[in-house]
Amino acid sequence: MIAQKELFEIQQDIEKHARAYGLDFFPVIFEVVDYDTMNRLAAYGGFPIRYPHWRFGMEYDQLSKGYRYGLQKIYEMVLNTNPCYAYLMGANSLVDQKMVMAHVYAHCDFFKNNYTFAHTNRKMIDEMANHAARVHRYIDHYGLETVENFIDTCLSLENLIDYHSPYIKRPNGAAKEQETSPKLRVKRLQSKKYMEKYINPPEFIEQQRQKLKEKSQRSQRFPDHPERDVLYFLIQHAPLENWQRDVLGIIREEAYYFAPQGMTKIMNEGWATYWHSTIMTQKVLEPREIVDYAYHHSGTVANHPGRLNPYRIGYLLYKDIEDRWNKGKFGKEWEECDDLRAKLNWDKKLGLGRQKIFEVRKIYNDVTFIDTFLTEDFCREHKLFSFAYNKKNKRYEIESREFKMVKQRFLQSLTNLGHPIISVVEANYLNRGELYLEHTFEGVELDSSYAADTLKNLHSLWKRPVHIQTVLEEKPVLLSFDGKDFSQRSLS
Amino acid sequence: MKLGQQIIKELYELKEKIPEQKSKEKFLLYQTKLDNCQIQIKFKDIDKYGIVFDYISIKKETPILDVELINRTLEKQAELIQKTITYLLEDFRLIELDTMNKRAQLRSYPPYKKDDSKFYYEIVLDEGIRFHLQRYEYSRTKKRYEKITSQLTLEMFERLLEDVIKILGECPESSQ
Repeated sequence: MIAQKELFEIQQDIEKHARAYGLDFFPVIFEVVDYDTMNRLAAYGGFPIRYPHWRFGMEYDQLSKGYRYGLQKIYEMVLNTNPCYAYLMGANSLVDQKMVMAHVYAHCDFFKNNYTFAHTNRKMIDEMANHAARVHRYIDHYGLETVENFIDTCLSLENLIDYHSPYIKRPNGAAKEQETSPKLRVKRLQSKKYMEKYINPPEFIEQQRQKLKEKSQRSQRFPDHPERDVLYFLIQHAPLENWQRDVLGIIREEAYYFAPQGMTKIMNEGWATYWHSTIMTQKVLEPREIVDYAYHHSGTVANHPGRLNPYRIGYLLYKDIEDRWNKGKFGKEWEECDDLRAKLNWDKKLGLGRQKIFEVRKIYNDVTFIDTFLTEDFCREHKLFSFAYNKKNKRYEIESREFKMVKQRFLQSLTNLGHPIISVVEANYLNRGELYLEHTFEGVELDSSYAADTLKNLHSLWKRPVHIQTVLEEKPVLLSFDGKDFSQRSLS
Repeated sequence: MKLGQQIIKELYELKEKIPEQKSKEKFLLYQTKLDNCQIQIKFKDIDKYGIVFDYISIKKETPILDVELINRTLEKQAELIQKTITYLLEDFRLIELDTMNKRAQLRSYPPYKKDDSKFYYEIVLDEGIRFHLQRYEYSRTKKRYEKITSQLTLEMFERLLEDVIKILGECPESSQ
């Protein structure tokens, strides 16, 4: 174990370097913990206090076993709060602690500056403790099993939120009221009486009136527009008891708090890896530490079979962006150049790389990041490919190395965090108070067992039959659950 | 005086209290307590031949506490409605017995169709003690359901009220 004093000196040194590079973060408080505490905190999503639920215990067990069998180890954990709390594993070697601290400062900079985190509650530790106290109170009142079962149901639906809603300005109440009010007065242009029928032709006025009428009728649907935040809709309209509404609100609030971390996983980890690499190799590392550092850094950015390493892809993309903007490999001239040799030796010595990556970390999320900066050259250089299940051979195989396909698959896996996009389109289906959801089909079918469980859990909250319109085997179908049986009906 | 006749008389009296022009524009709400029942009728007009109403809602004041008994009662009440209320020119059919929410839903079957619209009565029975009748129109072009008024002759209306009160009153005991 490294002495606290020594760690504190290292922290100050790294913080100084991080600031000098232009990183801008909230105050960071480091805490050194043993592996068991680390696993406990990790199971709680990094927070010291959460509401009681068995899944945290399950995660703790999984992490503990993973550590004990040497399968995994958590080096650090950092919270998006102000001040930022970061946990360091006590058993880390000195070079690991240095690397981890540099990594943490970059995460804190990302939390503070990336737009997706702008709406998050920076006092979330207090809020989580508050949630825990409320749930404890409900458990005392209604019993552990009742509350835990209800939390199970809510958690199974926690991804049915509108990840982009915090960044969209919704029309205010007054505007909405005006929109839905049945005033069908058509605006007329000013005219003398004898010119009226020429300036405001009756057919045109009638046509406009019809349009307004249709618009007003459309708005009388409930909900008047497809609602992507299904949890919010349920909180507002499902026949729940007050404590259930509150618990559902807690789950939703926490889901929105964690959502930006999912939306920027590649960018955030890439940014932290880029900066630990830069700070370590340029400022902090001592010659005797090089081999250890290289060993651990290569582990961080290594390719793991069967899954995408966000640290690697993010890190490489930031490096690529920095290089391109340093050498001026962007813009019309670069795009239109078809001389391979000229492209290979392209260097306009602009030196804009660092400035560009700071801009990128501020205004992008994973989807826009990949969409904008994953280039064909990058794809070719790093041998990216897409894979799919081959029904003939009954195994996963390389599907394509074509840039377009790779990028499309990549973006698909990131859109809506890879979850299906589901909206409430009708809450009074067949005029019988049944809930009608729609799955926006984008090429990936719903997993039927998940769909069945989701319908079942939605039914337990809505307490009326629930339907979801989706596409199975390229045909539109309606999956329904009426409280007893599942059914499937073709809509074609 | 029979219960139905008494309600009709009170509906007349209510209508007469409101100035004519106002009563034609707006729905009037009649509420009373008769025979251990709370009766609510939202109506538009009544004359010596018939009545135009939005809904009829009748609720027995004594609740049924046993859940199983509620469901048996609902089943029985639905069956009685299908057998008894056959004079509205549209027969009723049980659409759903929702044991979770303790509610039965009956609708005209087949619904009356005209042009692009379907018209039907809907009866909702709640917890074996509440009856609610409403008429709907479903327009295919607009693709939406709308509550509409029902028009009945006074004889039919009177018979309907008496049948409903009887059905609500009889079931819980007979199903035990």
